[in-house]
Amino acid sequence: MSTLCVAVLSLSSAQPAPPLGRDDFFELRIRPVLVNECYECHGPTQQKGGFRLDFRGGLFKGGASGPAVVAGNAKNSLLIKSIRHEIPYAVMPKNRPRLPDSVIADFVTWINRGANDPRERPSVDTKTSVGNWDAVLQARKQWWSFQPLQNAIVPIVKNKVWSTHPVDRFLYSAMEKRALEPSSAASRETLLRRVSFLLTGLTPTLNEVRAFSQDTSPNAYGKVVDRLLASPRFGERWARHWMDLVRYSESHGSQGDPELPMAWRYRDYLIRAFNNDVPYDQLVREHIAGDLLPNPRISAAERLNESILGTAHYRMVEFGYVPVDALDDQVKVVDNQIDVFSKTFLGLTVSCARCHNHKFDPISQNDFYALYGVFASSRQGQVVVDMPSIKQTNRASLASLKKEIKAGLGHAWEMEVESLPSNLLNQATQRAERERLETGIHRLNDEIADLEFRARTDLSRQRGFEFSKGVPTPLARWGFEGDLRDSRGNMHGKAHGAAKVRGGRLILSGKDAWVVTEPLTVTVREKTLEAWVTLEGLEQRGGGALTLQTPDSEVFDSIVFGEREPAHWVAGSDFFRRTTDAGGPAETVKPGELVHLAIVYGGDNTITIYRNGLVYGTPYKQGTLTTFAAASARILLGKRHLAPGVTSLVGEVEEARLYDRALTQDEVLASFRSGTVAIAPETLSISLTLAEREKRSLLQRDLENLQSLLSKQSTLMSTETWKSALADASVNNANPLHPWAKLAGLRGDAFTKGWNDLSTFWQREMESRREFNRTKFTETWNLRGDNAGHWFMTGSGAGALSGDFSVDVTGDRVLQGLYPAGVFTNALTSKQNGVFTSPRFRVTTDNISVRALGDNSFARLVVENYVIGNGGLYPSTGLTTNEMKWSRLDTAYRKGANAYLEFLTADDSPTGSRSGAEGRAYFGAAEVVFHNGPDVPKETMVPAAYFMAGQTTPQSAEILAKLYGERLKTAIVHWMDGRLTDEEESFLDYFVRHDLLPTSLQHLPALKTAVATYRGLEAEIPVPRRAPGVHEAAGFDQPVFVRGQITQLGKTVPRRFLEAFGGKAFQTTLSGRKELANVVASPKNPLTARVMVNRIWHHVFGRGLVTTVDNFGRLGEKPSHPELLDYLANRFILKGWSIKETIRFLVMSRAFQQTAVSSVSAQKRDPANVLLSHARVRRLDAEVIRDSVLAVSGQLDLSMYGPGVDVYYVGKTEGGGPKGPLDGQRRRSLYQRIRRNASNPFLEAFDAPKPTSTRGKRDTTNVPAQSLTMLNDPFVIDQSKKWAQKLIAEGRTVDERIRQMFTTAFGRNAKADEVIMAKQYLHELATEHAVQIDFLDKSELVWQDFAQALFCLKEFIYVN
Amino acid sequence: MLTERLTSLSPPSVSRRDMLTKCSTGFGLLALSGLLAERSGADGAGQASPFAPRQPHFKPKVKSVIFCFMSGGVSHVDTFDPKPLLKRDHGKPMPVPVRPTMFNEIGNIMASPWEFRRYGKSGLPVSDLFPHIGGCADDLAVIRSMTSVGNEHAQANYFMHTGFSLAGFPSAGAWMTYGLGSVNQNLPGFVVLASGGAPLGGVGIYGNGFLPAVYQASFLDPTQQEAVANITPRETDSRQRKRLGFINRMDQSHLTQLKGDEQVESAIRNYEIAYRMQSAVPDLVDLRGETDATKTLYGMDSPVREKAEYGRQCLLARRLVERGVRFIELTCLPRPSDAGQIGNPWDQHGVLKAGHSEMAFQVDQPIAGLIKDLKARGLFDETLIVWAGEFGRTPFAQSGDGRDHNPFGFSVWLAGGGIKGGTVYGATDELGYHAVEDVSTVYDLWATVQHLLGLNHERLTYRFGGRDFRLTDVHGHVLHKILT
Repeated sequence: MSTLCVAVLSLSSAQPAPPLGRDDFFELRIRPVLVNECYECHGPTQQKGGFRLDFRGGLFKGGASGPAVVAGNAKNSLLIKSIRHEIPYAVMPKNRPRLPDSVIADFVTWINRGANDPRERPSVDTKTSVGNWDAVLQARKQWWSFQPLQNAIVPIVKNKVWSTHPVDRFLYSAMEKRALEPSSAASRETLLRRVSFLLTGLTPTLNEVRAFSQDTSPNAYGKVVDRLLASPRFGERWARHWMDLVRYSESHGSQGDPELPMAWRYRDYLIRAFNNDVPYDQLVREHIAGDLLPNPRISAAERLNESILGTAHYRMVEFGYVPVDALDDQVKVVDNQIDVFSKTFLGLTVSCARCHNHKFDPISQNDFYALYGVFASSRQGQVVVDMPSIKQTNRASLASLKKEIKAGLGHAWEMEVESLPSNLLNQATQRAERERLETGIHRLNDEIADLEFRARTDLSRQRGFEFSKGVPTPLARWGFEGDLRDSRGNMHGKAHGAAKVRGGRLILSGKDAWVVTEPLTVTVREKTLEAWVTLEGLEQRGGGALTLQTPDSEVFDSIVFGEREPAHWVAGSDFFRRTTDAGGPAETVKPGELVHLAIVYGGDNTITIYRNGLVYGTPYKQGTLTTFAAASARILLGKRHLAPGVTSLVGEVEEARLYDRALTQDEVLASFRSGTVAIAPETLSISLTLAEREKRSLLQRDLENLQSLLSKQSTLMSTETWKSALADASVNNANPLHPWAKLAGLRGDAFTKGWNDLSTFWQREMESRREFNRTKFTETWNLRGDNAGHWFMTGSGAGALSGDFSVDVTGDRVLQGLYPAGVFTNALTSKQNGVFTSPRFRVTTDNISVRALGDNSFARLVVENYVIGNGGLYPSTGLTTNEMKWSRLDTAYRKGANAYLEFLTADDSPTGSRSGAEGRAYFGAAEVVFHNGPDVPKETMVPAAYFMAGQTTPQSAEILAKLYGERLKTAIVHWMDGRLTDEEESFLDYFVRHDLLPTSLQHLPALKTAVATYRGLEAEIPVPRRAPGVHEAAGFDQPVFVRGQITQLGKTVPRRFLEAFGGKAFQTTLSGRKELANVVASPKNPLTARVMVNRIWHHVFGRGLVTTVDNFGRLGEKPSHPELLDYLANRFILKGWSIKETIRFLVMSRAFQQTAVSSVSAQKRDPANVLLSHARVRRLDAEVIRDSVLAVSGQLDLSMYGPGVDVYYVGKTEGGGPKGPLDGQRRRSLYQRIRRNASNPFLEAFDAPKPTSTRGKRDTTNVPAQSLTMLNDPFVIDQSKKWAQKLIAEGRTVDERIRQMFTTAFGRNAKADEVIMAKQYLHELATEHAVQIDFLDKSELVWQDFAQALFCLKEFIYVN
Repeated sequence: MLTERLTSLSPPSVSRRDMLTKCSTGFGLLALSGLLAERSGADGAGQASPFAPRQPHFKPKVKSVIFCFMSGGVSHVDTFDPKPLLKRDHGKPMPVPVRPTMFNEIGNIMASPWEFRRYGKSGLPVSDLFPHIGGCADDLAVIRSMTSVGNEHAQANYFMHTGFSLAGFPSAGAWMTYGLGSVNQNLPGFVVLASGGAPLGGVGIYGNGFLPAVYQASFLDPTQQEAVANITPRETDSRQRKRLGFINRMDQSHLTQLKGDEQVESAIRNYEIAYRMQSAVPDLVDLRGETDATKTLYGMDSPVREKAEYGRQCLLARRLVERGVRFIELTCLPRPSDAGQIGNPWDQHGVLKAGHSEMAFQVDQPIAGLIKDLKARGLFDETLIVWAGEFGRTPFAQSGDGRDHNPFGFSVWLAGGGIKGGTVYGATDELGYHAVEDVSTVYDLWATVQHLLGLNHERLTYRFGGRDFRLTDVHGHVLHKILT
C-alpha cells in the first residue's frame, strides 16, 4: 500500500526547483536536513561509526565504512546509498522515516554539482543550535500542508458519462492513471442504510425504507439526503465525532475521578451547533475564545450564550489528585490542552515540542511555550452561559427600588434618632414597664386556658370514637385539649422546660421545651409516627416533632425537621442508622399553618415519609427496624432525642399519634384528610357554662388591654434587642454603647474620669493596632470601592462604597446590616454569581489573609492553576458570615509557587455546586494582606473607638446621650449622601445590625410595598446556568522549560502563534486567545480548512484523503489526492465554512453511491482502495451499534439533551460510583455519562475512545470481547426480549415476521433463501425450547433467540 | 468452516471441553487471522495477528511475568531495607530538610515496629512482616534504590505501570503482549486477577493506551459469578451452537454478496474464538484438579478470606503461566479491618503497625507458595515475579504512628529466571529517605523486565501522534548487576 501511495503522490507533490546559488542551495536544502536528521548521532556529542558530518572535513572523510561523499558522483557516495536505504546496515536516518524523495533528489543534485560545503569547522553546540533553527524552520516550512491552498482545477476526464460531479472527476482522473474503473451504483437499500448511518448514526426505519423504495422521482436520493441533514439526529451523530477530538469527558480522572460539573451542556451545544450548521470558522472561534467574541452567538430558544460554551473543551483535562508539585501538574494539563488544540484544528503535534524543537515539523520549542502562555493565562472555572440579557433581569428596577428603600430607611432612622437621647435616659424605667405588661399577658393566657380545661377534656373524650370511620386507630393519641393526656391509652405526657398546653395545642417555645410520656404498654417494631405541627420559622434546625426512644435516649426514631439539610424533613435515628435524605422538597409552610407529617416504618425495613398525605421524596431502606420494648420506650415531643445540646422544635403540635403498625398509603391519606380532632372555638364556647363564659370574656378584655399597651411601648427602647445590646456593652469595650453602659450611672468627676480613661485607652489601643498592622503585614490589595482595578470579576460583582447593603428577600427584616466599602456580588441579589480573581503573583509569605464576608462562598489560593484544589495542600477558606472579618490562608507550603487568589460563589466552583436549588450565594471582599506571622490583622474599625475619637469630654450622662444622637444623625446623613466613611459605617452598622434602629417591616410600614415589590422582582431572577469554561485574566509569558525540566527556566517566550505562520507576538495584555482564534479561524491558514474537510471526507468515505487525520506533519501520511483536498478546502471556505453543505456535496457524488463490491482489477492494483474505485465496508462505531440495537428493538427513546445517564457496568470501577440502568434509560449512547475512571464496558468493547487526547480516527479492532458481548451481554439479551415481545404483540405470520425483522435490522428485504434459513433455525429453536410448531409465533423464547441471532450477524454491525 | 464443524458435531451432549480438544487442529491458524485489526499505515500495519507469537529481539530468559503490585505503597524501611538509625533516633526530628509531602503533617523519626533477620545463604535481611518470603530470600534480588516521580497514588500508579504519570499510555502488560504476542490463543495475553480492588486512578492503569485495544488487560475475577465479563453462555451449549450455525450460514451468505471482505471475514472467525474462550476460562478457574497440599501451600486454607483469596490469585497466576499467558498482574485485597480502603490497602498514613501486618499476612505465604510451586514444577526459571508498590513510605511519622508517601527511595524485588537470587542492589541513605547508591528508576525496572523477556526496551516502540513511544519513555538502563 505504501509503495502505491508514494507513487501516486509523487505525481503531484514534486515542486519545481527554483534556481539557487551554490551556497544558497546548501544553506536552504542541505544544511537543515543535516542538522535536523544527522547531527544528533554524527555531530558534536556523538560520532556513531566514527563518523562526524557537522563540518566539511568530517563529511568528506567519512567513518568506519569510508568516505561518505564523493564530490560529483552521487551514485557512488555512501551518503546517498544510505539515505536511499540501499545499505542494510546503514539505513539512514536511523529510526526515522525515510527522507522524502525530493530531499534525496536535492542531495543527489548537490553532490553531483560538486558538494559545495562552506562549513569549515565542527559545530560547538551540543544540541541543534539556535542559529541553525531558522534554516531548519525554513526548510521544514516547505512541507506540503504548510503551503497555501492551491487553486486546484477540476480535471478533464475521458469518461464524462460516469459523473460530472467535481469530486468524481478528481477521483476518476486518478483512477484513469491506474487503469481503474469505478464500480456500479449501490442498490437503493444499501445506499439508504449507508447514508442514514453516516448522517444520523441510526438505521433507516421501516417506513423510511419503504418510502425510498417507492419514490421514483429523479431526485429521490437528494430528498433523502436533505431529510437526514435536517434531522435532529444529524447533530447527535456529528457532535459525537467532534467529542472524539476534544476528548470529551465529564470527570477529571486520577484518584477519586472528580466530576466536571455541567459538562453535558457542552455536548448539547455541539448537537445544536451541528444541527444549525454553524460555520466552521465560527465554531473554531468559539472553541478558542468563545467567551471573548464581541457579538456572541445567542440561542433565542434556549436563551443561551452559545459561543461561550465552546470553551468547555479546555476543561476536559486530567488533573492529579492534590498534587504536591502543582507546577508539574499544570505542565501536564497545559501540554494536553496544546496537544488537543493543535491536533484538532491544525493537524499538528505541537506538544512534541515541550522538551526540544520538534524533530520533524517546523515547530520550535519556543512555539510550545508561546502557546503555553496563552492557555496557562486562561483560568479554568465555571462560566455563566445565559444570554447576557438574562443577567440584567429586573436589575434596573431593583436598583431604583433599592434607592427608594434606602431613602425610606434613612427617613425612619432619622426619626428614631430624634428620640434616642431621651430614650437612652429613660430606658431603665421603660424596660420595667414592659416587663410588667408581658408578665400580665402571660398570666391572663394561663387563666383562660385553665378556665377552658374542663370543657376541652369533656369534648375530647366524647370524640374518641371518631377513629372508626375508615380512619386508622392509633395506639396512642395526644390531642392537647387542655392537658398532655393520651386519649387512647396510658401514655400520658409530662411537660419539661417551657412546654405547655394552651388552646388545644402543645406550645414548644424552643427554649429547651419538651414533653416525655409514660412508657409503651406493648412492644413496637413496625410503626407509624404521625403529627400535625406548625413551625415558627423554617431556619430552625434539628427539632423533633414526635419521637419514640429508649429510656437512655440511645436508640430512637423521630420526625425531624431541618437536621441534615435546612428545611427538609427526615426520619431521624441514632447515628443516622435508619436515616437517608428522602429527597423531598424544602418545607415552605407559613407560620401558624398546620403541616401533617407521618413516617411509616415497614416490616421489610422500608421507611416512607408522608407530608400532607403524600409521599415525601422517595421511600428507602436503610438499616433494620428497631424493636422498642414495652414498659421501656417512651414518646418524646419537641426533641429528636434527649441528649444535652439537642435542639427543640420551635412551634406548636396540634395533635400527635402513634400506631403499632405500618399504615398504608391510603390510610395515611385518610388520616390526613379526616384531620385532627381539634375542637373548634365555637364548639368550645358552647360547651362552657354561662359563668365560665362570662369570666372568660372578662379575662379576654384584660388581655386585649395589656396587649394594646404593650404595642404602644417605644419599639426602639423596650425590645429584647436593647436589653441584650446593653448587656453586651457592659462587658464588650468595642461596643459603641460601652461608654454609655460604663458611664451613664456616674456623676461629676467620676463621669469625667471614666470618659477620659476610656478615651485614652482607645487612643493608645488604636495606635498600637495600627502599628501592629503596619509592621506585620504587607497590604497587597485594597479592594475598597473602585480599587480592584487589576482583579478580574465575572458575574454580578461590583465595587461598592461604604454603607451599601442588600435587601433581605424573606422574613420580617429589610436588611441585615451595612457593609464597608469593597467588592460585593449581592448588591441587588444573591442569586447571581461571582468569580473575582487577583492577578497572578508569586507566593512569598507563610500566610495570606483576606478581609471578606459571604455565604455559600469561599476565598482560596489557586496554585499554579490547579483549580480543583480546595483545602489541604491548596489553601481555601469558607465565607460564612454577613460581616467582614479576616480569614487566614496558610500558604507556607506553597512559597515560591505562582498563584492567584480567588473569591467565588459555590456554584461557580470548578469542583461542583454546593448551594441549594435557589443557588443563593454571595461574597464581599475588601482587603488582602501578605504576612509571615500566624496572626491576622487587628480590627481597626471599632465603633466605640470611633465614637470617642476627637470628642471633647462630655460632662454628664445627658450630654453623652445627646452625643449619641448627634453622632448617629451625622452618620445617617452621610449614609444618605453617599459620604459615609468605613469608621462611620462600623458605628452606624452596629445599630442597624442589632436592630437598635428599625429594620423590620413591622416597624417600617411605609416600606412594605417597596420591599414586597423588590422581593417579587428578585424572585423572578433566574439562577444562572453554568458550564465549564475559562475566565480571562492578565496574560503572562512563559519561560521555556529547558529540556522540559520545570526547574530549569530558559528564555521567556511572548504569547503568539507558531513561527511557521510568522510568529508575531500578540499585542494584548490578556491571554491572547482572541488573537489565536483569529489566526486559526482564518481562510489564510491553510491547515484549518484542509484538516476539517479531510475529517469530513474521513467520515463520509471511511478513510481520509490524508489518512492520518490528526497529523498533517511529516510523520503523517501525504494526501492521496492533494488537488482534490485543496479544491474541497477552497470550496469549504467559499461556501461559508458550511459543514452540512460540504457533507451534502460529498454524498451527492457518484463515488459515495458506488457499491462496496470491488472489481478484480481493483483488488490487484489498489487493494487498499486508496483511489476509491468502490465503496468501503465499515464496522459501525460503538455508539451506533448500541443505538441500533435499541432502535431495532423498538425501544430507543429519542429525547435530546440534559445531564448524562449513569452507565451500567458489571465488575469494578474505582470507588464504584453510581450505576445506571441496564438499558441506559433507552437513550442514545451519546447521552451516557463519560467518566474517565469508569468507562462504559459495552462501548469500550467496540473501540469507543478513552478521553485522553484527540482521536480523529477510531480504532476498529476485532476482539473476542465483541463477540462475547453480542452473544452474552445482558443488554443485548434484554433488548432481544423486548423486540420479541413487540413482534408477538404485533401478530403477523412467521414469514411476514421474518421479512419485517430483516428490513428493520438490515434496511433491506430478506431474500428467499434467507427466509428458508431463518425458518429452519426457528424450527430448531422450537425444538430446543420444546415449543410446538403451531405455537411457534407465540413463543417469546424462540423469537428472543432469533432476534438476538440477527444482532449477532456481521451485517448488523457492518455497513457497506 | 465453523459451520460445518458446529453442525457436524453431534450428538449435542459433547461438552465444550471435548469440542475444544477436537477442534484444536488448525484452530491456531484461524485464530491468528481472526484477530486481525484494521490499523492505519502510519500506525504500522502489517502483522498477521496482534496475538501471534512474535520473535523477541534476542534469546529470552523468561516467558511470562507475574506482577505482584502492592497498591498503596509498602514501607521499605519496615520490609526490605533495614535502617538501624531509625531505632536509635526514634522520636527525634528529621536531621535533613523534608520535602513537601502529601498531607504536610511531618512528624519525627519513627523506628520500625518490626525486627529484621537474615535469611538463607545470602543472609538477605527481611523484616518479620514476611517470614515466608524471607524463606525464599536466596531467590530474590531486592532493588533498594527505586525512585518514582509521583507523590500521589493515581499518578504514581500510572507511572509505575506505564512510565507516564497520566492516563492514556499503555500498561507494561500491554507492551509485553504487543512485543511478544501470546502463546495461547484462547486466553488473552495480559490478564489482571481482579479479586482485589482497582487501584486509585482506576483500571486505566491496565489499559492499552494508544496501542490497539487487543493488548489491554482482560479482567479475571474468580470471586465474581463470571470470572470474565460475558464469558458465561446465556443458553445451553446446544442452543448456542445452533445459533452459531445460523449466524455462520447467514454471515457466509453476506460475505459472498460482498465478494469477500477481510474485515467481515475476520469478524466471523472471531465468534469461534469467543466460543472457545467460553470453555477455556471456566477450565482455568476450576481448581478441583489441584491437590489440597498445593492449596495449603498457597495459604488457600486460611480462615482469613483475604489471604485465601490472594492465595487463589497466586495459584491462578501459576495456571496462567502454564497456559502461556504473557503477563499476569495480581491485585491486593482490602484489609479486613478497613474494607473500605479498596484501591490503596497498603496506604498507612496512620496505624502503620496494624495495617502493614494485615497486608503482609495477606500476601506473604501466597507469594512464597507461588515461588515454591513454580520451582517444584520447573516453571520458576521461565517466569519472572516482580514485586513492587507505587512508592515507599517516609522514615518519619505522620499522625503519630503512620508514614507518608516517599517516592525518593524505596524497595522492589524480582525473582525468577535470569535473576541473581539473594542480591541487594542500590541503597538509600542512612534514614531510608532518598536513594543514594545505584539510584534506579521505574524505567530501569521495566528495561530489565523487557530484557529478560528478550526485548530491547529501546527498540520496542510504537508510533502515535507523531512520536515513537516506549514503555521507558526516553530513559531506562538494564540493571545487569541483578542478572545472572
